[in-house]
Amino acid sequence: MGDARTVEAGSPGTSAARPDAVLLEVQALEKAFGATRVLEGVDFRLAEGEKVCVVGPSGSGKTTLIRCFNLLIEPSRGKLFFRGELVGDWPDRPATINLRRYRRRIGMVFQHFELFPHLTALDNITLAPRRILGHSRAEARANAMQLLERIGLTHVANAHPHRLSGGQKQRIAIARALAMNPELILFDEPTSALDPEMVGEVLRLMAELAREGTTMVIVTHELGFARQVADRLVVMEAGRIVEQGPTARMFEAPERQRTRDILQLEASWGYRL
Amino acid sequence: MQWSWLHILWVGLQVTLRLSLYTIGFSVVVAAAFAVASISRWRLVRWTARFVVDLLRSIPILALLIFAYYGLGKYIASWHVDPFWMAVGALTLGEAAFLSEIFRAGLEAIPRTQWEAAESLGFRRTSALARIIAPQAVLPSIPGLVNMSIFTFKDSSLASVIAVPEVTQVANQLVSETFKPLQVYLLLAGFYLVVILPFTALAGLAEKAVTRYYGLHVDKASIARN
Repeated sequence: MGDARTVEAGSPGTSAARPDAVLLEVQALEKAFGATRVLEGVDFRLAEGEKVCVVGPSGSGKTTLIRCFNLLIEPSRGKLFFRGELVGDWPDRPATINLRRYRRRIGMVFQHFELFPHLTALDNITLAPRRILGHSRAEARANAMQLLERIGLTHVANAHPHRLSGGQKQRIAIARALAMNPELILFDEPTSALDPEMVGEVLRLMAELAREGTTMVIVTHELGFARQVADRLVVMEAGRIVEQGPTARMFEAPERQRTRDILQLEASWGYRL
Repeated sequence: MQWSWLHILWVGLQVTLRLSLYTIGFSVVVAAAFAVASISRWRLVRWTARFVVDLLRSIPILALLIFAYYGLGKYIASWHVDPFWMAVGALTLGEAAFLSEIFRAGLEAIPRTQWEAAESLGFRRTSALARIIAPQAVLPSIPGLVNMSIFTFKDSSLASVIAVPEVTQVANQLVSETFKPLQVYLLLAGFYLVVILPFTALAGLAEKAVTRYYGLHVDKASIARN
């Protein structure tokens, strides 16, 4: 193609993974919707390359927490750092950074996929690289086709989302996030809306990303998956972190009885890889 | 009835069609602007848009026409504005107010999570609206747009009171010359019918075709099931 314009993605990429470099950190994070307090002082650090699963009963604030990470939800109080830089300090210094530039560095995968229904699978993936990163059509297309090949969905490239199964939709949604070359991907209950027979294909793709060193924060009820993939487990309840720690220890020797109870409750439903 | 009536009314119908098409065209643009303004993040813009829309909705189009022609006429006489364009202006304001509510409903029907998906990819609000939200709102707005177009077509007859030679005005004149109101007005009704009937049928088909293509309803159903 004659289009010679190639604009670099603004992000440094995830290649240079330093195991203990803190990628994202929140301190004393609080969120209230009117009188409803959803987060009540959460402290959390995420190292580069780390895979963290967040579990807990519905309404425990898991989704709100990760939505605060990319500021889809603005915290009421607390601090947010990304790569050591202060993103915002609420309520005194709300985010002064360029929100769009910040958000494009963080991918997000939603419970209900949120593919754009008026666009084909391919266009869903190429839209943001073209419009946000300024990639040429040919370049964005080539990247997208590579991603589609990787997730084994080249044959649906030109299908609109309504023609795809739930599992296919979620894999396309993951590819859409990956196409932005994010430094971190947030997953908000990525398999909760799927029919049971489709959960596996999505979890397998996520496990593959994890193996490749993608930094991921995953809100999930899939404890089997968490156990295999997560470096660390965060257990939440009523807007607080009950306990967090290395996955194996959290399952085998949690410090608090409440952690044990919640994990037991969550384990009563789930999928094994 | 004479064959010459058909010709006379046909000339009037052409003016009616021109009047309606201009009005619909401008209404879509004006209504889109109002709809976007009415979902703005800035309260002042939002409130202003909604106030103007409510104001226009509560004024009869006939009153708008008379106001433009007789009310403003004296002051803008030196501009030599054709009554045709005054009618286009007044009808546009009147119809756009309703149409903007249809567009706004279409925009507001797109789930908030679609905005979030766009924002999480780094889209600014305006480009999310243009590339992701608005295109999805087009389809649900089509039935309303068709309805408004039919109303516009019929409302254009009001322009007869400000001497726009559209088909109703032409018919009135014909009556005053022939003294055969029943026959003339029946014929007039037939003229309106002939335009409107195929239009509704065609619009219905188009809507079905687009629905099938995007399968938006299929999508909604699958989300509802979960």
